[in-house]
Amino acid sequence: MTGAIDVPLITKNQIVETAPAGVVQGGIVQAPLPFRKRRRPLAWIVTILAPALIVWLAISVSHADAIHFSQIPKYLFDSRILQGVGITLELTVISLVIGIVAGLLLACARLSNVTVAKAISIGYTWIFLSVPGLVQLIFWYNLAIVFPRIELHLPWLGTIWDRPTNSIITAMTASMIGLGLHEAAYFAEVIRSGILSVHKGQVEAAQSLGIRSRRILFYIVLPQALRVMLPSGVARVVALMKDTALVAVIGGGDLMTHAQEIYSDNFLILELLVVASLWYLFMVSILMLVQSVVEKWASKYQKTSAPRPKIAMSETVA
Amino acid sequence: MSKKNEMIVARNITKHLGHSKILSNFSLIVEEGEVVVLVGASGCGKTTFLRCVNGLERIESGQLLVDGDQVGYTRERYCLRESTDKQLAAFRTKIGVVFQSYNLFPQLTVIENAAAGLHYGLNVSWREAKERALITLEKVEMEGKAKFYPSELSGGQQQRVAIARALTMDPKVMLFDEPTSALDPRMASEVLKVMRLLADDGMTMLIVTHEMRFAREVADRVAVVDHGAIARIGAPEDVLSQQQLARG
Repeated sequence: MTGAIDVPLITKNQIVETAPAGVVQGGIVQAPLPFRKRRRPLAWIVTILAPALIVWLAISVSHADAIHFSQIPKYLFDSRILQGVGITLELTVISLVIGIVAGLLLACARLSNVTVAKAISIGYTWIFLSVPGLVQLIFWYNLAIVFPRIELHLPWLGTIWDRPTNSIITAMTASMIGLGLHEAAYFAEVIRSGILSVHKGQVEAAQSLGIRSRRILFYIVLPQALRVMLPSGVARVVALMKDTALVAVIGGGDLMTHAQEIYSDNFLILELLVVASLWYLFMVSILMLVQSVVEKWASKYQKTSAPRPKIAMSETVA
Repeated sequence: MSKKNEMIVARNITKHLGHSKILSNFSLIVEEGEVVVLVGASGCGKTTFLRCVNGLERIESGQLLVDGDQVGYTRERYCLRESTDKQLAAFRTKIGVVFQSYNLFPQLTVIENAAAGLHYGLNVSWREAKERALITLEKVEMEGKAKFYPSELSGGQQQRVAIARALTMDPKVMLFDEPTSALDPRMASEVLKVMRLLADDGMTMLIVTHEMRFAREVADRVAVVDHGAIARIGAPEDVLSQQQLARG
């Protein structure tokens, strides 16, 4: 047209394909100005520098003579390691069940209007969240010092059960009880906040239909609370799975216990730690996969869900 | 016993929330088959009274009978004992409640919502409960959306499902707590149409609403609530003209 000034090239990166029509100014049609993305120098620095750092780190570690990488595959499927993986899974599942059941009871006690139940729940949570899990485990393992025998006396019938505590509290049972009761305190909080997130009108609607309290909890409130509880709940399961490594201090027989046993024999400390880490990585990854599936399932009735907000970085670097 | 049963009997009810008096000497009798509309300014106690009738709120003094039973209490030999959870649940099946905010269960489909009371409350199997729920859904013309989730419905449709959910329990009396206040006029009219149908069927209804035209057309009696008690009560044309004059 008339006032032909050089028009910037339209690139693929442009957000808007067609810029607004030319504007008439003083009889001359101005060329439309194209839109460009915002400059993000920091994003570019991160994009280039961070991978370079990671590659450098990987190369220098792989050249370290102290680590015998060839030993790692040998121990990855060692029978003792596999047995440890089994125990770790078993411990996770059992303490999880103890944690969820006891946590649900604690949450209900906390939300009830019985003052004593409320106080006990608050006290339990306070103690079990404040004392480190490691300390709790060692305490349970040494229960025999406080109670040497576990006995059950009944009037008239006499003693019907009497065993030394040490025959019941093995490293394994101490681990289950210790981890389970510790986890119960966390799950009490997770479940309580989930229940509180459900709108009061849901309970009232269910009540006016003549549904009894316990059923309202299990069929109306908890299914809705699940969506709120899942992210924090699964985060707790992941944390629990990693916390099982603590039982190595009482010889709980888990993955970490066996890794320690092996490296105290052959001094391949780093190698066996890598083996254990690979297994933990694998198990936690599967858990996260399960989490995404379960989260989708739990929100299936929310068909008009809003798209997830993106963070700025992912837009630029893509 | 006169010609008709007294379905709801309230005598001198008082109720406080915190320090403010919500109901003071509130008295009202609703007969079987009657449609009574409660009107009045917000915060005058209409909704609280409705919640008391269903036992969602406790009254402090006075007498409140629904179908002959004192709300929240069960007759024992020499006393009225506070109802257990089970007794209260059984009592509530006689009363259908429709809330301003619908309160449908979001994790259940429309038909499951309508069947929830029968299944979870009265242990009816899902199959039979859904069969019976379908009949009430047809009444509110929502049978076509049976497989939908509440989040996929408009407000008016959700409220109609909520009405069906209450009706499936075959209640003796229906309570409506501002059922159309959250709806635009077009959606409100489809809900009012359903309520009109119920009134024509002879359902006993106690309705809190701001829909004056509906009150005039459908109500047997209109009660004006003011400061926690009934200020005026009578046929709609007697009460409402004054009310509207006072407003204008």
